[in-house]
This record gives sequence, structure tokens and C-alpha cells, in this order.
Amino acid sequence: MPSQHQTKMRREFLGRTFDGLSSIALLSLLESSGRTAVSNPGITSPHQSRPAHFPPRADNVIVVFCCGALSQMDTFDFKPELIKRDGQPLPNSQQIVSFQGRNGNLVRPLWKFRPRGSCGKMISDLTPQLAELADDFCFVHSLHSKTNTHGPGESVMSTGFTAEGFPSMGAWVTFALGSENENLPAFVAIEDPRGIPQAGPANWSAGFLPAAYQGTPLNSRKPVQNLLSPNGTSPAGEKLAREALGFMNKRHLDKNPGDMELQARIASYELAARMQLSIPEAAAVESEPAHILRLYGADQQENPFKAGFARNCILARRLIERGVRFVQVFNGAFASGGSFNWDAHNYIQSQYTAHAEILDQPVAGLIRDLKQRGMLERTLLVFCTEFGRMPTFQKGTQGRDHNPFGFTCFLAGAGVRAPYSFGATDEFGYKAVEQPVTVHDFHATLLHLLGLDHERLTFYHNGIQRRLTDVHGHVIDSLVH
Amino acid sequence: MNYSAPVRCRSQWALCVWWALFTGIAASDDRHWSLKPLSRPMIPDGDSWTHTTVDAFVQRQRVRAGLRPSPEASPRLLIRRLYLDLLGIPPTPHEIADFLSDSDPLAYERLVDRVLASPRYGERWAQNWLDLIRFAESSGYEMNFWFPNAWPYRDYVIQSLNSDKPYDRFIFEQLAGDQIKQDSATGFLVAGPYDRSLNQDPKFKAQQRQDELDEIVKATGAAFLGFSIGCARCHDHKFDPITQQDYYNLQAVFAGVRYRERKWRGPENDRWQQQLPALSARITDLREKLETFRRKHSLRSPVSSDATEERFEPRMATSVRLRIAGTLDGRPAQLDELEVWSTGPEPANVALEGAGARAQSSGHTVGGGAKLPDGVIDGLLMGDIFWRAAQAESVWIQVDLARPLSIDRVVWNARDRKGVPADYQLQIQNNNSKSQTNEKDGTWVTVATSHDRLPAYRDQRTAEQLKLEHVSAAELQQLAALLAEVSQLQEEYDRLAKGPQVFSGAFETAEELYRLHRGDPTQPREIATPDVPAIMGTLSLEVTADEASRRIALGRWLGSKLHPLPARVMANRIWQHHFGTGLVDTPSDFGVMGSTPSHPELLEWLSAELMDHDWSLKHLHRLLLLSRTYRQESKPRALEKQRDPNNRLLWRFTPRRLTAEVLRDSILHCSGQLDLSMQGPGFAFFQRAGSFSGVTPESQLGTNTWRRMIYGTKIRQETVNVFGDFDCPDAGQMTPRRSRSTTPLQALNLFNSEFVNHQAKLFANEIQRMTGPDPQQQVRQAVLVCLGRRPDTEEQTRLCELLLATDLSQVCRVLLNTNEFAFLN
Repeated sequence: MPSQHQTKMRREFLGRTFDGLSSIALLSLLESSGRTAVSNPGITSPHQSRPAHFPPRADNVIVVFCCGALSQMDTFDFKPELIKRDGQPLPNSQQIVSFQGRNGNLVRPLWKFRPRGSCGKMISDLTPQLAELADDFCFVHSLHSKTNTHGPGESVMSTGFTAEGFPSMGAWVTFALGSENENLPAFVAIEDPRGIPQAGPANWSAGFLPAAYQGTPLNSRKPVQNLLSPNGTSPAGEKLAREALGFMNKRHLDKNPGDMELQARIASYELAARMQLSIPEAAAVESEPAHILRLYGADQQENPFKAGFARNCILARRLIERGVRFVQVFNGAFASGGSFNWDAHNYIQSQYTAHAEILDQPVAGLIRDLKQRGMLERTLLVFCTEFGRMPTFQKGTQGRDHNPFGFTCFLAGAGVRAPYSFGATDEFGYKAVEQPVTVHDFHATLLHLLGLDHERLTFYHNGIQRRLTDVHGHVIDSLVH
Repeated sequence: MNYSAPVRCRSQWALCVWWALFTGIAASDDRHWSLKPLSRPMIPDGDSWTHTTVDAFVQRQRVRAGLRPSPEASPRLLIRRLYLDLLGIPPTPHEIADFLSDSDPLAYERLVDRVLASPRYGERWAQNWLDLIRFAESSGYEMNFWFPNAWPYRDYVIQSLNSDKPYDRFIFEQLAGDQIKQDSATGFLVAGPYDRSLNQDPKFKAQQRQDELDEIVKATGAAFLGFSIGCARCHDHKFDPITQQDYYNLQAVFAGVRYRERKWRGPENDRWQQQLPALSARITDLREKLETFRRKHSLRSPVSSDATEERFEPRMATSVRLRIAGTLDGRPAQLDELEVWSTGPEPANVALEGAGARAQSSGHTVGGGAKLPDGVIDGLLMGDIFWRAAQAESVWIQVDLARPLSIDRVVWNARDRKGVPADYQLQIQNNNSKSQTNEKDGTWVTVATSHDRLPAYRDQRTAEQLKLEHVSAAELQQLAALLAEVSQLQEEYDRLAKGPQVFSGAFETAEELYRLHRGDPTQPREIATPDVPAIMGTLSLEVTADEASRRIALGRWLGSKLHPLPARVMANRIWQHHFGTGLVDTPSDFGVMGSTPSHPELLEWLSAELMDHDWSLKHLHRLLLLSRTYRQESKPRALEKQRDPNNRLLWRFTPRRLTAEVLRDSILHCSGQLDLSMQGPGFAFFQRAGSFSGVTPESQLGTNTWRRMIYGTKIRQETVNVFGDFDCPDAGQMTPRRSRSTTPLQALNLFNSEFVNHQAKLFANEIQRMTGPDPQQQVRQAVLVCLGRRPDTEEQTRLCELLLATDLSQVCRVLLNTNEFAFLN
């Protein structure tokens, strides 16, 4: 929470900068390309809070995105048959050529599975702290994707489409619901300390939605661009410059009375001035007490990636706490032969051990922290990845190739059904066979939890009323009851 | 649930509607309005207000709605509007003064002509076309590789607009420019994103190819025809009379198009080719010297960077080992396959896993496709599995045979990779205790080495590293120098012979394409015949038509006036960019789901004008710019705003915020820093373009980046610092019309960024240079340059106060942030 001093400073600052125009409501013009759907906020404030289609379970979302395709059979998808048939060929698989080529024999999970929580869910030793929270998780084991390539795969998970240029989930959600705090960006994308994800900004793109719904990239080390006043101007000079700008704009507005777009632009400068204070305040992760830093592992400076990712998780909580609608936290970066993300083609054992150390405690800490603050009840936590991995090792390597046919994600919080496991892959974890779930179904379900009907959340673009779920998607009822 | 599950069509009514329309054509022309033939409408009489034909059409509808037009904007506003709209930069005080003092009644007409003749016009309006076809200079998707030779297409569009190239020709060149030496024009075909990842999975590989073709079909359909033909990829179009077969037929037009660079013919290439004969003669001469050297020292031919073979007397062997002391390029050795051939009546490669052989090496690295050593005995040259040595020097790879065999030949294949073995020894071991030969068990016997081979000219080893039997050190020095010279000349020869490259597609024999059930490449159905959608006409081509003839036929058909859509769609685009909204406000959707025109007869008339005036776009510009409709004031008026809030009936000029490009260019123009050099490679907004590990913004403080923004290298996905947030499209999807939003991040960027504040300082310096030290004069001049008018007394006082309390650069910073500066009025 901001200190009293900060709050006082902010109040004084706002008092000074509101130049007689504070009475003008923040009106921002959003002109879409062409006609708009009924649900389009149209010419209103882009980030003003708006009601959902029906009463929501969740007010906010945190997505933890494991870039590089997290192996399902080494983590949460327990397959005894795979252990039994370790070293044997995958039945009927002589001809399987996956993303990087040919495959060798089945390889058992490299970490031991044990029953966890009171539900006894089998989870591997790779992520022991997350495993302890098994009773809070709603697993979907039968996800499958349309592509076996990381970039398009991340795009599918973030936007519903393999192609470029579609709005991301966070953009859709903030387009529909606005934000609870207009002094902060409504949608924040937090990059991993190791680098940006493979599909890069496509993960937080506004696509063809107005730019106002684009995710703002920010992490605990990288501030919002151009947030602060330029070097060399004094606070007094800044104030005078702002006032002069306000004066010029007001005179211009007087000559064009009632022009909403001009008013919106005046208001945007006032909002920008408030953001200059509210963003650094929200990003002040170091102001957290020591026991909270410890809970997330943010104190473990000897592992800078882990400490950095932990700080990102704390930042996510601080943003949600302040009313930010949608936060995406990336775990893992770009293609790097599996060095910086979960794409372990070559040496899964050593690479996953290092990555899990970075992932496990911070995410478990985040969930515990949300719980202890009572925030998990209204915050939906989505733990996802772009697709799965093969139950075999690749020919000539000690790692697993891409597998779009079956993978695991989980949800927590916001009243989702937990502990619960939905759907299943075959006996080796290779293909989703029981109640297969498309990413569209997954998205439809997430929107449903936010009180949004995925078929009604539309935007006209180049001939089509576009949706996050394309022309597909069914809400998985049993997850939300 | 499945991605390809049949879609429950909740709009079957629409299907019924178009089918009814389609089948009813014979009886009467009930086709959707945009598909009907074009006819010149009667021009309305007009009234005292109307000035041009455009006005007559507009006024008729405005009067019917009971709306009054706005008064004419002041000359000062008009020149600013024309400049920002057509050129994308504001007029200078000098240009304004000239226009204001011109008392000729035709002064405005002459100004319009001047503006349309400015090369700045092409630079501004090309951006609209580049947005539309989502042109960028990187691949997008996860690799997002930079295309260093994509920029010529941007110049092609600018030049085409500036020269008022007839629109039919502009279309033709973009589809088949390669046939008439307009090589950069076909950049259109490959302007979309494409997935460059090397997918080995055949199903997904086929999908990648389908996605490539889909981008071309979508762009062609939307840009030229205003139809969302791409919607018929997986099923018949749900709303428009476009079948799935139509979609694949159009795909077949582009069946031979590949996303690659090709030679850019023209004067530059001619210069390059002229140098070849002389270079070739020098290379021949040097190669003869090498050959003389080889003969003198009785050397064998060099190693091949592909397959190298060694033959020797038949020997019993249990193991074969290739010791590698050095490679051509000094990188760790790489081998794809190592074959060992048995003797006898039916020689066979016995170095195969399937034959019980095993492989081992001195060490290997895994990654980037490199795998364990047994990749060299998998019998496949697929390229996805190969061995790479752990270090560069003194390594070995070995094959242990299943049993002792008589062998006489070893072949290794480096598949032209890096790390081709240059210094090697081939050794054989016979570990068979029952051996009847006199060779000692367990010893390695060398059967061949590279030391009697002439080094390849690509060999980068120094004279000291070269090992040749019976050759003196001095001769080795000479040889190394000779090799280096050949290598360098050959490299230069190859570069020149290839010619300057342009990323505008390569053309191969057209592959056979089929209608794909549910868009799934594994479910081909009827063969596709290159053609346009049946509802629009036909190209009358055979299934087997030659690749180029397909694109030529489409290019001709689109510009043939046989179909009204190309003219209607383009006339509407021109209108849209002048007035903010098109007569049809769904500019790339003239189908059933698109809007109907607000002024149908006006659109017909403009389309006819476009075709009848040799497809001249400047003619169309002139028609609009000279109208009173265009010259109205932009001030809001309460009654009209209430009745027609979106100004579709044109009771005023629609004000709008400047686009990112116009904003940036105008700031640089005001500060006196805008570099107006045209053409050529772009400047960089990012330090490392073309990487899938992220990009770092390039500082925009260097003068080399102060060209117009259209010359900035466009990297897909990435938001350009400062101006990207002003609704710049990311070039993922086609953008016939930009979204427009007002956000606090825009305010932060424009008010706080180093770029704007730096320009504000330079702007202040410029003003001081012009006016001298008087603050009053400085403020007056700054407002004049920035806003095109003099400040009023209050503004003057207020800005002077700011100047005295801070400095002139703060005044400039404020002016560059004002609404008045940032809006087209």
C-alpha cells in the first residue's frame, strides 16, 4: 500500500494539475474500423469499468504463461503406463515425424510422481511447492492445439488464432470490461527476466481493436516507456508547461465547443500525469515486507532469474490489488535450445531442473499470497503453456519434441471447481482422448468466469464480426460449477 | 471438441438469401449492389451552394435530411488541411503567406495542383496502401526475420502514386510485374506475414504452405475486389456468393509463388553483370595456376563440400574412423552421413544402424539440429539429424561394424554445411582375432588422408595449417595466397552474378492445388483451376496453365473494366482518406456483411470517372479537393451533431487526430530537421531487427533517423517507440482503416519522450536563429511555424510567461503537444 506521505503528495499533485478541467469526464474517442458490435464501448472512456454480460465469478485475471511448451508427462499428467513402457517404442509410431523430425522410444517421466494434498492428485517432484497446492487447482488435461510451432502456438493461447494480428485475450477482456483503476494501464504484460516470449508482443497485442486495449509491457526492472518527465526540467517548469498546454487546449476547445475527441485528449494528459505517480507506486516491489519477499523467493539474489521472476509475481499481485483487470506473467523466454524456456529438445533433465527452480516457489508464493489476502476468491489464476511435449525422446537427443495433440493447463481461484481434473490424454500422455478441449473451449470458459458470453463479445473487422473464440468454443460447464 | 467440427451456422438465412440472389440472376439482376454493372448516374441539378458534381450529389442528400452545410474554411485553414491531408506535413509560414496573398480566383485550384505534384504526396498516400496490404519488412511469426531487401516495394508504391500511374497498371504490376521488368512491384504478393520455422512434420509443413497462399488470396480479394474471399477457405462463404471452390481456384492463380528474394533487374543489375566477363577471365587464369600446382605435386582433386569419397584396396575391417584435424572454415566438424561400402558382387553400405553398426565420436554437441553421433548411420540425408564435433580440432568419428567385413570405399556427406573436414585421416581397424590377414589386430591403419589433395579454394586455413606431402613452406605460402585470391574473386563473382536482390517473390512451376475439405491439407478434393470467383467472371484458363500466365490473366482481368469492383473499391478508398470515412464505411468489405454506400450514386459516378479518365487517381483527388464539400469548416454544430453525429451526410469537414507518421514528420518539419531524402534502404527503429529474441529500440536522436517515417524499416509486431502507440498497425492483419484511440500513454510519449524534447530544443534553436533574442518575437514565430497562425494576445502573454520562467524549448514542447497541432481540421 502507498505510504501516507505518498498519498498526500499525490493528492497535492493532482490538486495542482487539475486545471479547471477536472470536471470534464474522461471521454476518449474510440473509433473502430467500421461498424461495431452492440457490446462495443464505442465513444466512451476506454478503461472505465463496464458491466459484464452476466454476474461474473472473477473480477481480474492473472495468466502465468510457461513459454516453450511445458511437458505434461513430467509435471501434472501422471501416466503409469509410460513408466512401465520406458524404453519401448510408442505403439504404431514408427512413422511419427514431429516438429524437429524423427523420434526415439518412450521415456518415463524424469521426476517421481506422488499423491498431493488431501485430494491425492499425482504431481511430480519437479514443482514441489505448486504440488502442495493441489487442492486449489482445477486441471484440464485434455487440451490440444492447432499448431506445433511455438510462435503460432503462443498466439493461439493468447489470441485464439495462429495468424498474426488478432487481439489478445487481455485486449478482449479490457475492451469488454474496462478497468477498476484508470490511473494504471488496464492490461499489463510482464516479461520474464530472461527475455521476451517467442511470439513477442503478439501475446499482448490489441490486434484490430483500438490501441487503447493493447497490453502495456512492464516488469519489475523495466519501467513504462516515457513515463517520467525528461531530464533537465524542474518540477516547477513541468507544472508551468502543463498549465500552458492546458491553457492552449482550452482556448482551442472553446472554439470547437462540444468536440469529444478534443476533450478526451485533454483528459488523457491529466490521466498521464496521474499515471506518473501511480505506476511507480504500484511497481515498488521493494517496498514489500521481508516475509513477503521470502514467500515468493524474491530474496534469493543468488539466482537472479528466480528473484526476478518472483518480483514479477509480486508485481502481478500489486497490480491486481490496485484494480488492474488483466495481468500476463511470462515464465520463460524465446527459443534458445531450451536454455531460457521450457522447450527442452536436447537435455530435458538439466534444463527443466533449472527452469522449475525459477517457476515453482514464485508462482506458489503468488497463489498463497492471493489466498491469504482473500484476493483469490475474485481473481482467476490461469496457468498455461502453448502445447505439450512428446512421450518419447527425439531421435539422437535427451529431450522431447513438440506435441500439439495433448497438454495440461490449470485454473485456480474465482470459484472454479477445485480440486478437480478434467479430461485425459491416452495412456502415454500423447493425445487428448477423453473430453478433448480446444483452446477456444478454454477461452470460452475463461470469459464465462468473467461474466462474458464469448459469442456476444464481438468486433467487426474486414467483413467479419470477430471473436476471441473464432467460430468455435464451448464453455466447459463442469469447471465452473 | 474439435477444431474442424462443423460450424453450426446461425446465419443460414444469409446463405439462403445469397443463393436466392445467385440463382435469380437469369430472371433479373438481383445481385448484391456491388456486383452489378456500373452505370453513370444522372447528375443532380444542384443549387446555389453546389460548386462541383460531387457537391450536387452530397447536397441532394443533405437537403433531404434537413441539414445545412458549414461555411467555407479560411484560406489559412485550407492550406494547412491540404498539406496535412495530401503531403503529411504542415505548410511553412512562407508557403502560407504566398497562398494568402494570391488574389487570383483560381488560387485554390492552383494550390491543389501544386500539392498533387509534390513528391511528398506519394510518401504520404503510399502509407495508406502499405497499411492496407499489411506491408512490413520482417516475416512475423516466431522468427520475425528482417528482410533487408523488401524496401524497394515501398519505393515502388511511392513512385507509382507520384507519377499518377494508372490504377489498372498499378494492379497489373503488383501481380505480374516480373513479366514487364517491374521486379519490385510483386512485393505485393509476399507482403504478408509467413511462418519461416522449419517444421519437419509433413502435415504442419503443408499447413504452412497453405497459410502462405492464403495470405496472397486474402490480400488480393480484399485490396482489389473488396471481398473477404479468405472466408471461404474452410467452407463456402457464409454470407457472400463465394464458394470454397472459388477460393481454391483463386489460390491456384498463385500456385507457383514462393516467399523468396529474386534478382532485381534494372540499371544496377546491368552494371553488375557488365563486370562478370573480366572477373571470370581472372578466375579462370588463377584456377589454371592451381591446376598447374596440382599436377606438379601430383595432388588429387580437393574435398567436396558435399560428398567426399575415398577408395582403397579391399581390407577386412571391424571399425572405420575419420580423424579430423581441421575444417574448411575452422568450425567444428559436421557430418550428416558416413558410409562404409563392402566389396563383392553386390557392394552395400554397411555403416547402418539397421545392419547392426554403431557410431561413436570424440565428443558431440546437441542443438540446432545436431544430435548424437548415431545420426551418421541412420541412412538418411534428411538434414534433421547430424553429428557436430564438440570442438574444432583433433576430433574423430567412428563406425563399428556388426562383424568383420571386406571394404574398399568410404563416403562422408557434409551436405554443404559448415565444418566440412579439410584435414583428415581415414583409418581402419580389424579387431577380429580370427583374422587370416597379416595385419596386426587392434592397430589403426591409415588408408587415406587429405595430405595428397589440393586444398579447396574455400579452404580458410593458413599456409602454416596446410599439410601437403612433398611441398615446401615457400610453395605453401604461394598456394595459400592463390587460394585466398580465388576464393575472394569467386565470392565476388557469385554475388554479382546473382545480382541485386529484391524480396518480391520467386516464381516456380505451379503446383497442383485442390479444394481442401474443411481447409485441411490432408483432405484434398476437386482440383483447382486458376480463376476468379464464378460470380464475378472467369479467366478462362486451363488447369495446366503456365505459372506466369495465371497472374497475367488475373492482372489483366482486374484492370479490364469487365468488373466494377476494382473501380468502386478504389474510388471509395480515396474518398475515405480525404473525408475520414468512406462512402462505404467497410472499405475492404463490399459483400453482404459490408455496409451499403451512404451516397450510392456518388460512388457510381466517382468509379466511372476513375475508369473513364485512364484510371487516374490524381483526377479523382482533384474532383474531391475542388468540391465545396471538402472545403467546409470542421467546427461542430449542435443540431447537425445530434442528427448526424458521424457526419455521414458531410455537413462539415470531419476533424481527426493526425496519424503517427504525420505527427512525427510534422514535428521534424517544424523543428527544421526533416530529412527529405527519398528512396533506398530504410532507417532503423530497432537495434536488432530480424531476431526472434526481441528487439531493442534504436535511439531516435541521430540525424540519420530523421527521414519521413515511411522510410523507417517496418518490423512486424513491434511497436515503434513514441509514435507506435498512436494506432500504428502491427502489419499482422490488413488495415484498410486505422483504429483511432486517445490514451494516456500517447500523452506520456509526446510530452516526455527524449525524441520530442530533443526536437523541441532544436525547434527553439531554429526559432532563435530566425528571430533573434526577443522573447515576444520568438513566441510569435514558434506559434506561426507550429500552428500556421499568429498567437492572440492572451496566448502570446501566457507563452511568454512560460518562456521567461523556463526557456523557449518548453514553449516549443507545449506547442507540439497541443490539440491544434495534433489535429487535422
